[in-house]
Amino acid sequence: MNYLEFDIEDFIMDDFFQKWVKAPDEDSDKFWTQWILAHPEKKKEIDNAMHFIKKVDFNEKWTPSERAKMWSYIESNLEKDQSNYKKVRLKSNWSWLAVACSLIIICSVALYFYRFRTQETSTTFRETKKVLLNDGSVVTLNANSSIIYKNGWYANSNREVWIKGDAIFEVSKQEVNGEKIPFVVHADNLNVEVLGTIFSVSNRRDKKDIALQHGSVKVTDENNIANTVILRPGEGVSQSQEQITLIKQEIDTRYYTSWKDKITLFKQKSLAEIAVMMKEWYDINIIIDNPTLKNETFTGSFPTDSVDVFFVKLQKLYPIQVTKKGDNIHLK
Amino acid sequence: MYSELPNTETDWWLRLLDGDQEALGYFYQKYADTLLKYGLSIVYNRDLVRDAVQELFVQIWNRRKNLTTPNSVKYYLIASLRRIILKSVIDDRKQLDTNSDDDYFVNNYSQITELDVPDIDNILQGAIRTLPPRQQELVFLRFFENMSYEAISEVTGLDYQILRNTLYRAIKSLRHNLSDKIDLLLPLMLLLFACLLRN
Repeated sequence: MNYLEFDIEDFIMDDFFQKWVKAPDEDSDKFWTQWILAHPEKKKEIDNAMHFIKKVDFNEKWTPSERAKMWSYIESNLEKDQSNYKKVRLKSNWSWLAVACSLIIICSVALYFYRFRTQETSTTFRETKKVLLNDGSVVTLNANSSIIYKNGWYANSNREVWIKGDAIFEVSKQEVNGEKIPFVVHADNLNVEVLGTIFSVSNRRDKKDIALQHGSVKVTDENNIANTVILRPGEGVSQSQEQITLIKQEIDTRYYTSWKDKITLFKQKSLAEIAVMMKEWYDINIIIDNPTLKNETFTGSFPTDSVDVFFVKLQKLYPIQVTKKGDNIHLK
Repeated sequence: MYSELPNTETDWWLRLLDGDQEALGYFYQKYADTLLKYGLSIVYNRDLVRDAVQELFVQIWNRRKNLTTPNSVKYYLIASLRRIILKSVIDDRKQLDTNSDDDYFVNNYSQITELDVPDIDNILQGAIRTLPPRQQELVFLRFFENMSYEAISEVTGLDYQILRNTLYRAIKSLRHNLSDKIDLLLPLMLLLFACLLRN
């Protein structure tokens, strides 16, 4: 092999060279060390080729929940035709061992289900709720929202929560042997990864908003792991059908978290947007009879538990007539 | 009952053929991620790869009575996954009827968003995923799995010379792609470094 005529690509392609970079043994180590010493003019090519080979990586992984779901799918589709097999086994005098093993299996399955049994907490309209997780983290749920989390969290396992609706997370820092245990909030395809922090997540009607108050979080799109942002306090990120790529923005987090203090804040929200929110939070149908009103915006606040205040303010601000007909509220 | 714990892949495989579900679980735990990385190299569609991996393990179990022991279980899994994925892509295409253009093979990895910290590893990862699928597949087998050209040729059915040429092209465009980005990054990093020194 005339390595002198090799360029970077040729080195990268070469079997002997790749083996030396990935798993050097005595032979290859001796050869290449000497060769490089003898040909210092080739050092740049060698360095580049080494760097390339070392850096090729594929970082996709199944999430623990994907893994578990896939395995349960596989298990449920396996053909069960082991009757002959079992009979042969039990004839031997090892049968007591079989019984012992089955007991162990049953216990581990039970433990498995205990550990991985999920728990769901949800709120109805006009209700907020505080949930204390067993790691000490606190989740405040807004109206018409739910979280799912695993029952038993062990010291070394990931903390994972699945969210629909809006919630504010106050995550407790957890460390084992100096390593921080991640806390992951899943909003469908978006994963918010944290290490002790306060932030809010809203996951409604395909629109997701994440706003960070303290600490630092990493938001990753499961569908495309390159679609990732890291948020600092006072920053937020949204995803919707129209805006898939995650782009972070400076935000006023009060607008995302005020509901926790029973205040709803709106900043230049159009009446059409507010109508959607009212439906989600209060199950109130707002019907805007006058189409020109749809784009009028409202800035202001009202106590979350007395939504009537909002309509009173609205009537003061605009020449709007608010009328109640059954479950619907008409704006004219 | 087995008196000893299996210690080689062949032992585990024999147990699998003998109807031991734990052995199937062993291979699943060991190779699920490898199969994801490989599957995404053929078609960048996580759902499709998920279905294919599931089908692969179900098939192995349900057909175990007709299976022999492969030289390498990993290569066997990789080659089988490849067959399943290509079949499902072709089936999907038939269903899509005349929409036969490269819909599936078009990489939907187009939007690589800016990360906070420009990280060379992420850039390379992103660059790999923008290669044509065949090139991604070969880069995976060659540089992630460290397979020999002969073994790759066996798994993919590609002629040795075509394989080498395709891989060569992949490396060239990756390096090209990278050096562009590094050229942009380098002055930035130097600047940062200079600022740090001054403080």
